[in-house]
Amino acid sequence: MNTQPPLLSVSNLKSGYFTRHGTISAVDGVSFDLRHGHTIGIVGESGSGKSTLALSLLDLLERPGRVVEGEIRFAGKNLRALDEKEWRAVRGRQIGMIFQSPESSFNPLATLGQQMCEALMTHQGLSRASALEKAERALAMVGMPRPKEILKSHAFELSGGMCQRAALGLALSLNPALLLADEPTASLDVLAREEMIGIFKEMQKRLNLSMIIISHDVGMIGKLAERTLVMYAGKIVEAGPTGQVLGTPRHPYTRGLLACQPRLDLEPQPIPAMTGSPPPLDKQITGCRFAPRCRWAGSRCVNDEAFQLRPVLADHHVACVKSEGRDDVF
Amino acid sequence: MEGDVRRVARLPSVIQLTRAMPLFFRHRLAQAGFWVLALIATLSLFGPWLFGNDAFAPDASRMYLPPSAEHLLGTDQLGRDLFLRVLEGGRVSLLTGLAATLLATLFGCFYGIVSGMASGWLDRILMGFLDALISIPVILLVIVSQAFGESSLLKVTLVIALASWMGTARMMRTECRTLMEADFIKAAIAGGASSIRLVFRHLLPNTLAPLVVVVTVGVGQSILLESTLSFLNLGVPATVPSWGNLLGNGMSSVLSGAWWMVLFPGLSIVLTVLAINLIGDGLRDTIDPKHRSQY
Repeated sequence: MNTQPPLLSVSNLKSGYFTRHGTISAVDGVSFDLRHGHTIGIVGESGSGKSTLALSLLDLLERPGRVVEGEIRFAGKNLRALDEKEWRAVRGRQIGMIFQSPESSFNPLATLGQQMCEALMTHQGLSRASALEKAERALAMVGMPRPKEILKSHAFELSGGMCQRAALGLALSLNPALLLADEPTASLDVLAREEMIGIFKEMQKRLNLSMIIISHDVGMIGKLAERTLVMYAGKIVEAGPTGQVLGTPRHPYTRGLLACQPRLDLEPQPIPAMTGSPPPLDKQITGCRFAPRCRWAGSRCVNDEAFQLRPVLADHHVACVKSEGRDDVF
Repeated sequence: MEGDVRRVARLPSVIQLTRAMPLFFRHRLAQAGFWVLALIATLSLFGPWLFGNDAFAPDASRMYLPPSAEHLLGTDQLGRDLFLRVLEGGRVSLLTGLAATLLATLFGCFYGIVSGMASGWLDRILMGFLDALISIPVILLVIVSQAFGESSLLKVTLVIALASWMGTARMMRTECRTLMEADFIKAAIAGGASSIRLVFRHLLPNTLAPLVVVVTVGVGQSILLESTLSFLNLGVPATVPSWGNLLGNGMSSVLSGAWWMVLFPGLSIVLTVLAINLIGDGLRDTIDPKHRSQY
C-alpha cells in the first residue's frame, strides 16, 4: 500500500452561513483524503454544498459564511491555523483555483498578459520579461493558439472556452501542488467542454497534477477523477473509486443523479428527474436527509445512524441503511 | 479566433468612458455645457494675461459706471473694472471648487473603499458615522470653523471638502460592495492578491465611470457652496474677489442703481454651475446605458 501521507486531508469539516434567520450548515462534517497526483471529483445538485466545500478549502468563504470546525491538512500544514498573510502564500502558489464563469474571472480592464505577469511577479519574484515568457509558455501548454497575441487581449475579446483555458494557464503557471476547479465546464458549450476535458487529462499526465473537480457534469468526472464523492445536503453520501460509484451506485441519490443525465447512446426517452428538492439546511435533521425524496425509504431511515457513511466494499462508502452487506437491494 | 468578441453585461469602466466620448459630444446640452465652461475657465485662468491686471486698481473718477464699450460689465463702487474682477473671481471660485472636490473625492474614495471591502461591524460603524455626519448642517460646520483662525482660501477649501465628501464615500462603498461579489475579484483573492492590489488594480479602475459623474457634479456643488459662504461673509477673505464676494459686495450697491454689480457675478455662478451640471448629466446619460433613451 501507499505509505506516503496524503497531499490533502480533510476531516470532519463543517462550514456554515450565519444569517439573521439562523445557521445554514452547508458543509456538515465532510472528510476525505487526496493523494499526490490523484483527482477527486465531487458531484451533487445545486445547494448540496460542493462549492461551499471548495471555498472552505481556501478559506474564501465570505461573510456570513465561515468554517466552523474540522481539520484541513495540506502538505503537512494545518491550513486552519494560517493567518491572512500566510494564506496569501498558499492561495495561487500552492493551491490554485479556477471558477465557473471564465470570462468574468479576469479583470475586464487589464489584459490577460498583465494579469498573468502580475501573479507571476508577486508569487515567484520574476522580472516582467521572464514573467511574460513564462505566461506565454503556460498558455501554449494549455493548448492556446498564438499565445503572444492572446496575452495582449482582454477577457471579453475571447470566447468562453479560451478564457477558461487562459484561467487554467494562469493557475498552472504558478506550479500549484493542487488545483481546485469549481464547475470548470458549466458555462462552456459541448465542444469547448470536450476540449477542456482533454486539456485536464493532458495536464494530469504531464504535470502529475492533483485536482479536486466540483461539477454536476458526471461525464467529465468519470473521465478525469480516480475517486468520486457524492454530496447531498452538506454531507458525503457516497464515496469510492469513480468506476464503482458511477458504474454501480449504491446510494439512491447517486442513482437518481445518474439517471437524470441525458444519454446520447440510447433511444430518446423522458429523463426520470428526481422529485422534490434538497432539504433546508437551517434546521437539525434527524435520520437520512434524502429519505423524503427516496422511494425506498423505510422505518429504519429515521434513525440518526441512517445517514452515516459505512463501508460496503473495501474502498467504497455509502450513507444508506439499505446498502449494508448486500450487493443489490433496490 | 480572437475575433469572437462577446458582449458582456457590465462593460469595463474605461471602455465605458471611451465609448461614451463620441456619444457625449452628440449630446447637445452636454456639448453646450462643455463649451460654456471651457470659455469661462479659459477667460478666468488667462484673463490677467489677456486683459491686463487692473482688477485691483481703484479709480475714483470711474465709480459706478454702467456697462459700456470701455468697461464691458461696468465698474464698482471703487471704480474697478467689473469684467476683470469677475474673471479674477472666476479663477478663485473655480480653483476653490476644484481643490475642494479633489480633497473630498480622495477622502470619500478612501472611506468608501474601506467600508465597502470590510464587511460586518466595521462597515456598519463607518456607515453609521457617515449617516450622523450627513445630518450636520453645513452652516453649523462653517460657524464652528470660524473659531479656528482667520478666514483664508485654504480654510474655505477644507470646509467645503469636509461638507461634501459623504456622497462620494457612499457611492464608492456601494460600488465596491457590488464589485467584491464579482468573480474576477474572487479569482484575484483565490490567486493570492493582497488588499492593496485589489484596491488599485481591480476596484478603483472599475469604479471610474460613476466616479467621473459624481466628481463632475461635485465641482458644481462646491462652487455653489463657496459662493454661498462668501456671500454670507463666511467664505474667502473679503479682499479676494470670488464670485460670492462680488455678489455680496454688489448687494449694497444695487439699491443705488448699480444692477450690473449683482447681475454679472450672479450670472457667472449660474452659468458655470449650469454648464457643469449639464456636463454631468451628459456623462451620466452616455456612460449609463439605462439613461440613453432619454435624448
